[in-house]
Amino acid sequence: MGISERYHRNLGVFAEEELALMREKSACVVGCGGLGGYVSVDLARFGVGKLTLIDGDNFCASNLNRQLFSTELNLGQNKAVIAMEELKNINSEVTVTAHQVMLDKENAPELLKGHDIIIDCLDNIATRRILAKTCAVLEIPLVHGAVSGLYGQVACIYPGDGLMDILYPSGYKDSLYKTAGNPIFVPQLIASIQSCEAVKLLAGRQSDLRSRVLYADMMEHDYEIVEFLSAK
Amino acid sequence: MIEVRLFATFRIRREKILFLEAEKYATAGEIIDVLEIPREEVAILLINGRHSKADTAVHDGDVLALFPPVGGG
Repeated sequence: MGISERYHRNLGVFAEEELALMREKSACVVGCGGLGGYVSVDLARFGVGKLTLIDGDNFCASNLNRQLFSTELNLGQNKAVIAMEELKNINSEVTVTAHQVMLDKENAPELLKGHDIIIDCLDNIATRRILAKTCAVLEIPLVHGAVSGLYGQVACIYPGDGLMDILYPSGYKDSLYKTAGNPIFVPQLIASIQSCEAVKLLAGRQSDLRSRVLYADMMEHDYEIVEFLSAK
Repeated sequence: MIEVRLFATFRIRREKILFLEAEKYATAGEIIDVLEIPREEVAILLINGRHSKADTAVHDGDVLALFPPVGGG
């Protein structure tokens, strides 16, 4: 059985068996804004079989500078639903489900369970903590991404490694980075790296970002992987 | 010397790597203060790759890394 033509350009880097395996895998993208728009389209085009999109927020004018699926015509509409509609046009072979809710402590276990991987595309620390705790309980790897100004970070958080608690110690508020701005280039870059690591893990490969953090500095183009010796 | 490495927004209007004379500083917090970084803005403080606190003592040869919270999406 050959791989469908639409995935031919994935070959070379990935083996046919890995691409076939991808069709059996499921990923959950939590947050469908700056990071999540790009991550979801990457995974759909790559051929991940099942995608779940979670976001209770609607597009607004300040999203237009960077959020892939936001247009002047869909302002006020739900981000997860719009993303789902767009992804169906991009790759109808992918099963896409949208949940128009904000992730919280109560709904997280039900929404996240059963996925092979979760992608953290959130924009606030409190929900990231809930997400990481739930992923740890469900024993699902979490590909974390975050941006601030021309800086961003990516890490693969494994159940029990405690990395999210290291990245966001208790007491830190969103206001500390909200003033740094959010131009399109950084979410595009960080989302690409998240998608790449997610696909590697789904293919059964290792990620170099396991329990480590890639810091990207697009001001000076300095990219560095930082080892956190405290992470288990 | 103590090598101080700044990450993300801490690099704005500062160098990304600085070398400070070890004998002038007793703790990591004193270095954060001299860099004029509000202590509450330091999310992660690593000394030689290990999680540390502002009152942790610093020594000649240490590498201090400071990270702000990066949380947008």
